[in-house]
Amino acid sequence: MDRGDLEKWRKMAGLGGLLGRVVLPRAIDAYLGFPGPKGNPGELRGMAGTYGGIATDADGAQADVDKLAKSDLPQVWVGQAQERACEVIGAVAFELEHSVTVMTKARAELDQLADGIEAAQHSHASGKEALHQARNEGDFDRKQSIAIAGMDQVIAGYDQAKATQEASARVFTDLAAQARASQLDSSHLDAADKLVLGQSAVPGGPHDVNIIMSAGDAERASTKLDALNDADRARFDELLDEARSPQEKAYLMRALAAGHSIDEIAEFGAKIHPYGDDPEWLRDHLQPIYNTTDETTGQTIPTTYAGAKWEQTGGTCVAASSVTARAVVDPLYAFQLTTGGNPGDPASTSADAFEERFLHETERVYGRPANEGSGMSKDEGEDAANDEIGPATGAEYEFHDLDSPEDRRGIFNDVAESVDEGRPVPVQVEGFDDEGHRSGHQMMIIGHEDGMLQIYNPWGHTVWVSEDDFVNGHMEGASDSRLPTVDGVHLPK
Amino acid sequence: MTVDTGYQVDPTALHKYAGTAQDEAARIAGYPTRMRMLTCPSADVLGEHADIAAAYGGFLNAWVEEYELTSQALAETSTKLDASATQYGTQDRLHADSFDRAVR
Repeated sequence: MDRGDLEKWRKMAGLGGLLGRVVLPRAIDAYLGFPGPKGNPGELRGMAGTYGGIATDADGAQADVDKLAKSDLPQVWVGQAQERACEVIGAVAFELEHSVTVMTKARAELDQLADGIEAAQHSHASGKEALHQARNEGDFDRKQSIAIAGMDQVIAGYDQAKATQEASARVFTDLAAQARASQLDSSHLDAADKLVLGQSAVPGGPHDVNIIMSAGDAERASTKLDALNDADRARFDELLDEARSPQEKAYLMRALAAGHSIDEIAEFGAKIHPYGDDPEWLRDHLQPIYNTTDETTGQTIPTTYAGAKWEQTGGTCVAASSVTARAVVDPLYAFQLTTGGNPGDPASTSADAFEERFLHETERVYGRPANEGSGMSKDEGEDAANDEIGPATGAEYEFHDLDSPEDRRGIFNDVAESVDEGRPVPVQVEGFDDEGHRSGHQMMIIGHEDGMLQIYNPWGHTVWVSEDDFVNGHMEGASDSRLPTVDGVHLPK
Repeated sequence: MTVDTGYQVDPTALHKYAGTAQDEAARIAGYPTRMRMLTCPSADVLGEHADIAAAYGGFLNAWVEEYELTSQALAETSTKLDASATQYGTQDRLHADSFDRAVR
């Protein structure tokens, strides 16, 4: 028996007349046979306590390890070897800091889950008690009234357990994806390499929201690394060994994750190597977007290169958002757009040159000049996602029509999971004017944090929206009032 | 010891901090041990909806592995610090001996 059956018996129990008198006892028995919500609140609270204890201790360990990297060792040892050692110890400190946040969230979530299950079980038990009382009641009207109240409590218990567990499942899936270093499970990297690469972040904002490699990048890079032949492996090792910063190493790994050949990566590596010890340069030329804050507010942040916006021309939202998304997942492509492959040439790295290349790439994807036509169809959008983003992420995209809040709520977790794995999700929004004329637009979902989605709008900015905005047609914060409703996404299969 | 290649080192202090790193690695290794001792993920504990037991199990496994990796990275570094300190100390004594012989 499931919730649908409970609803059915609940309706039948409300019938009057002879039928009601016949059905009511059977409905009561059906509810009394329905099992209560599973779960052990006491055990969950014990588990929460363990995570809380780990968070507290890891916080202390973080302080000690951070001091070792930043103060103790540099005072007694100076040189390149010390710098390399402190890179690893610094990565351990970052990892511990991040783990404190994760363990604290896990503790809070288990406590909430325990509370939710306890309340659900209480509601179920109260409902059952009322139903037992109803079964022994002689007066029909009174029997019916008590039984229906009891049934409502049983249904409420079921709904509460389901809602609490759905929310917790989302949180734990999200927290699991934040264990990035262990996703680098290549047998060719030692633990220190994995940690340094997994914790490499760009400067300019909080460390944990600016990590260069996503969990998906790490997994793909590991697979590619293990598949290299001995000669290619030696060439790639040499590039990593010569890298001048953990960030340079991480971009080389991302290039590998994006599916480039060792020849392509070697050429790319040689061109970025002179800037390898300048993480700001690497950030500005190898990725279009970074986070200056970890606050997921509705404030729009311009997406720029050297002052020029990453923005569409004419009706090229699908093409332009696909170009930027490709630059998000492929550092070689971003490098080509920002420098034209000539990082030392001021003319080639200028804002004007970037704008020209961005428009050229947008028109390549669009298939015609930007000022012609009125955008791309959903099928063309799917092709753009598969041709531009798919090769670097290993994803094959398919379109999902989202016609209702239920559809959008149902797909939210899959969208969040895709983004956590480093696979941007093209999202279509629409709206209708007073005369019923439709406007449509494509943006790109590129980030996910605590139930919020980060949207890149090819008008040249990023913004965070909530799950509620996504589900209930309040996307105007990411676009404008003409385009409030999500009507579809392209999602990896 | 100061060398004209640009590095400076105090081998005794380096040994001490290698020990600190080793202690911290052992401390971190205790976290996955504690996590492994927790009740196994099941519907009886976490509930039966939304595959919550699998979602929590995925989190548990991922972070057990992440902490083990973190501890291992620090332990590897501690071993290298210790080896470096020993080598610097040995080199220093060798050079000192050679000077002793020269002035005898």
